[in-house]
Amino acid sequence: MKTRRHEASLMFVLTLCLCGLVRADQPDGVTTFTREFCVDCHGAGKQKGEFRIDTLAWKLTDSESREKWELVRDYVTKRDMPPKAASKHPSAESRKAFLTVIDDAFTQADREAQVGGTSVRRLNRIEYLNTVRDIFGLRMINLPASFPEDATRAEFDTMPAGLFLSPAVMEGYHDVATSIADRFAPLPDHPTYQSSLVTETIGGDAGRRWFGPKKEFLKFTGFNQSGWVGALWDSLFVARASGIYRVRLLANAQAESGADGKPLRLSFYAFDPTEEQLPKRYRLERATLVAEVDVPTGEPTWIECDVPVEAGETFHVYCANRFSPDEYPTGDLNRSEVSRELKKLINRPEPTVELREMKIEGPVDVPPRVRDFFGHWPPNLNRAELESKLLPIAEQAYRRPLTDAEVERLIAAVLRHGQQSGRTEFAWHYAIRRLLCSPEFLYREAEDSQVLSEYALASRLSYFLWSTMPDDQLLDLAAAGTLSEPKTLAAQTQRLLSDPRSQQFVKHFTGQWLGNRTVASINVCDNRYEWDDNVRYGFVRSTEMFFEEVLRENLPIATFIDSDFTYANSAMQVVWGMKSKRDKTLGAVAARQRQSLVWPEPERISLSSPPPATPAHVLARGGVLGLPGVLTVTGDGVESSPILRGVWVLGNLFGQEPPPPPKDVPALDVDTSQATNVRETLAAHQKIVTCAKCHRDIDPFGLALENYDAVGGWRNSYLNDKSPIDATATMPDGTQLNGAESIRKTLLANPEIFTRCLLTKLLEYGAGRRLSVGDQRVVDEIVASAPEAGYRLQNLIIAATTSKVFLAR
Amino acid sequence: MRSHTRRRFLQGAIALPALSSLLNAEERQQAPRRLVCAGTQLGWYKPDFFASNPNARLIAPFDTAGVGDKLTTVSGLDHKGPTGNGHELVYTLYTGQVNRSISLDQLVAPKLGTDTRYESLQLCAGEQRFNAPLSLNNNGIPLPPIIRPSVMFAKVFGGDAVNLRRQQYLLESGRSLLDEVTADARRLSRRVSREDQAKLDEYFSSVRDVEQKLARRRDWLDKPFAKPDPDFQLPGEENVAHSMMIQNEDLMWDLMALAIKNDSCRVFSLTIPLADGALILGDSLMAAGYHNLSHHGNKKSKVDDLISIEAAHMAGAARFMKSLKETVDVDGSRMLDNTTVLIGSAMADAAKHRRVDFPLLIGGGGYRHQRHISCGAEHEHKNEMACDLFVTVLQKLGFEMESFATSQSNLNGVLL
Repeated sequence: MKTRRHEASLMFVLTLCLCGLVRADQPDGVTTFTREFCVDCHGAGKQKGEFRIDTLAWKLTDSESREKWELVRDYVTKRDMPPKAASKHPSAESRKAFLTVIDDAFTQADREAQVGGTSVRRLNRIEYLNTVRDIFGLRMINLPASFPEDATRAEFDTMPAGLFLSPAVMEGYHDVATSIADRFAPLPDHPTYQSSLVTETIGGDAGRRWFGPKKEFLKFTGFNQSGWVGALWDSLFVARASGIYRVRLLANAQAESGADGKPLRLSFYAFDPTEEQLPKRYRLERATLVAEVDVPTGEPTWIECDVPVEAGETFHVYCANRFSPDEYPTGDLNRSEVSRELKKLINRPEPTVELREMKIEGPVDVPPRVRDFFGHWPPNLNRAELESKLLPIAEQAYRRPLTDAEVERLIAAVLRHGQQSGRTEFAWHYAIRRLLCSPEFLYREAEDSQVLSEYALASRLSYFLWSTMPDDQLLDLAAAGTLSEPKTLAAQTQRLLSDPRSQQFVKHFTGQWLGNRTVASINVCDNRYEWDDNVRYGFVRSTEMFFEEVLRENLPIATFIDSDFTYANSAMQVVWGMKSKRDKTLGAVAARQRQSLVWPEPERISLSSPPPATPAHVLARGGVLGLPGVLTVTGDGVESSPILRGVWVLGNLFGQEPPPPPKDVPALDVDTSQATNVRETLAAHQKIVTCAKCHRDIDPFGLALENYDAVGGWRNSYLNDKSPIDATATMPDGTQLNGAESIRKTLLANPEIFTRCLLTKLLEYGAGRRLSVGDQRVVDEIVASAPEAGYRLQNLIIAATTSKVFLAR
Repeated sequence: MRSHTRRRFLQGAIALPALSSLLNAEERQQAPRRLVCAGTQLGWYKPDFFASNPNARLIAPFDTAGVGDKLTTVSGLDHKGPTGNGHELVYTLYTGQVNRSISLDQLVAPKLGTDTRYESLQLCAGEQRFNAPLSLNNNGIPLPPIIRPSVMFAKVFGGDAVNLRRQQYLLESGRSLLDEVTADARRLSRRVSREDQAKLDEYFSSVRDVEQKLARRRDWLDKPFAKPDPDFQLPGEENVAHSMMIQNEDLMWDLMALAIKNDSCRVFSLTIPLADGALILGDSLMAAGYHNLSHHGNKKSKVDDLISIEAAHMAGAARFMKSLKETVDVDGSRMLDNTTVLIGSAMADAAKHRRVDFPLLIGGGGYRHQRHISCGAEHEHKNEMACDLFVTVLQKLGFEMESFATSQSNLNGVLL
């Protein structure tokens, strides 16, 4: 009987299948239920919410199909579907029977599901830049501004979704490979630059120059954070070829010596004037001191200085020792305050250097590193030279030894180019471009095996924790075939974490998990909030430093939920009411922040023994929910959004990602005209069934955080209508929320939720894939075997890197 | 401030078209169609922008240049994007929507730019503060503009011989380079799973695309550049600081006119960037920064200063249009009538940071110019979308397209 029914349903399914209507693989326990209760709205005729169930693939080991069926189970379990208005409703029995079939199938699928499945992917922007900087020891390489962004909003930039290789990307790779080759093996006929400037034209931006009487000469101030006053000609000169530029200056010093007792001298700082989206101050932070020259007193004389500059760079010149570094205004000031302070500095009587004329000519020679690397210039070109100098570069680029065939092909091609062009420089230039355009360099983990090879594992580990290529030690272990041994892998993970390069992990993981990248670029309505670049810098750094403390001190991961410390820089402390006003005494600021000439670094604030008169809201800022950066990314810079905040909390602390809004409901088309505040607006939203399903889960967390404004400041009432803030909310299960504290309590009471969430994020970032159904079961095991007191961060990272998820391709 | 010899060039008599050598006989019959998309990031002072005001100070430069009958200002247009503070959204001007997508100029470039050395050129009047140029490619990626007049000059008239040899080497060796890395990819593709092989197809097709681009550059490498106009000279020292924006903008307008006249390129965008600093206008430094002035709060002195900057932008555009009007195209018509010029700003009102009802000006192009059209719900033209205007532009440029981005209709009835 049973068999026959099975056959009959098989026939039925096959028939439909031939008509192209139904996937043959849904079991009849499922189809009987869905045919009766679902397909009217989610079948061939109608697809409400753009969801169709009868053709939904029954492939529960596949995460995409699995997620959809989990959604179905969820809807049916919570009796959201069929909706109240539907004509037919299943009995409790048939509902239960349906859910049992699904649950059994899930369990079965979990046993069968494979771990792994990361697809081959190219290096992302950061990995690419770090890797070429490390291979070639270059201080400045940038991708062209046209280079597409990697990340998609929902995923890490280490995952394949954002890492497609479009023609624009390939062209970018080709151009940047050329510019690297230009620096490392300059072509013989490079463009040259020659110019002669008189007082009036030196210094670029007219508003920022400082002249002597009758504009006879230009006076220098010193190195300062804004670099706005002094001699600056980034807008006049940009090197078209890397090399030594000979700068001749008609100048004289006003005194024998400067603040440090040495002769007054000029310093040349090279930097890239075009770096994207960086305010000038950031640029200076990245400036490199490349040359200095002493200036004699007396009549103006011609002095000469050789300045090494990279293609695309320009330089600033300052009088290095007019003042001691303590005397300059530092980052605690806003822009107009800085200008004012600088003007005061200018008018002080300390002697400086006067400049009348300036000539720039070059390049007169290749950059020093070229001579260092090749021994002489032009370089030799023969097999031995290529084996000793080019092969190490190739092995770094490929992150593995080359095969014999690869070596032969590479050497033959380079030698051939040397012969054809008759110039050894051409051959080296070609070799570098060729390596950097190769898929062996651009792609990682290109192999077809269940478990990663040792070399691919070395790459995966180093890109995870350093965002750059593996070092010799990792490659040696890979060569010995021992890297994947659990003990070795754990020790290496520990080693990589203690290396300064792990700063990259802190930066890019917090940049994405905790939203720092968004904070770095968000536009904040600055006449509404106290906001400037110092505050922004504080937001970004306080999140990083918080994460770093948990990492370096190996604190329990529960610290992310609640902590007895936080970080804030001076600008944030002013906004938070911890300081009455900004400390504008130059000396005092400088003394406190000598470490950072440019930006005010956050300091650690103990919440258990706080400084006197610390406002109550600051005391309640433990964990990531108190970090203003996190609270800022969930708004638009003008107003906070309880929905975005709710989604953020749900996704990044609870590890649940609500599905995107259904396509047939325009996000803004809800009639909220009667609603007077955000709470009522959301309530109006929840009246629509399609919206309610998700907003019930999302909104409570956002509403509980309403005491924080769009930039994470504390408020007791709304800015617009002064109505008081109500931070209470009810979760779907009836739990009452009131303020951030209640979210912390919920999470701390169920530590496995956050453990799973963070572990999943770490693995997704590190292994570069959305976790498969099989991966998730491995995660379950790691979560279940958590120590009594919960994981500490380093231990959780080691648990991740030594897991089957990380080791699987 | 040195006075640029460029001025002489501008006063020059009607220039003869220098382009015919590169065109075949068939194309001689019909003049090429061209598009220039220009815009500021700080809006325009609307009461003086719209030609409905007979004394509009931003229209005066066009009247002075004798091209006042070759333009139409359009009010009431919008992309219907979310409002709010957002300089980052200024790029929406020619994309027509908030999602990053292709801009009008890039849409037409592949077709209009087939026969020229450059398919399109993106320019910016000196340094940018935001990476928010007007041109976005078909993936919605902002295209980096040329910010230096000297670079634009080299594009139009060719660089030095040294640069040419270098280019030659790079392009020639580029071919074998791409062959070799394609072979690498074929070998690599044998090592990976079937799904990954599909992923690697991206690599193959991208490399082919780069190869085609290199080939185009190789094709043009041997063809001589047009001789520089003897009356046009770049200033001795180039300065792309914000304070020199107007001077650089002038140079860019003039170089665009020259590029059109020697047919190096037919599609352009010109971004007039946000500048915090004070500009040098004429010979003197202004009292307040451009950004600051755009937030004028209706204070008369500030508005007047702002207008003087914006009138300087318009003076460049007017000179550009005049120069094209005085030039005879291959078919005997005036170049201006074959060149559509759009000028606007997606930041409708910088003083309020509003993005609705933004100002747009369409000039040249052979349209039935109206001086001014009022759009929007309360006016006779009910269309509200800037893209409706762009659809009309597309059709005028020879594209059989009924819609673009957020368009709902078109303005053919008024302008064609």
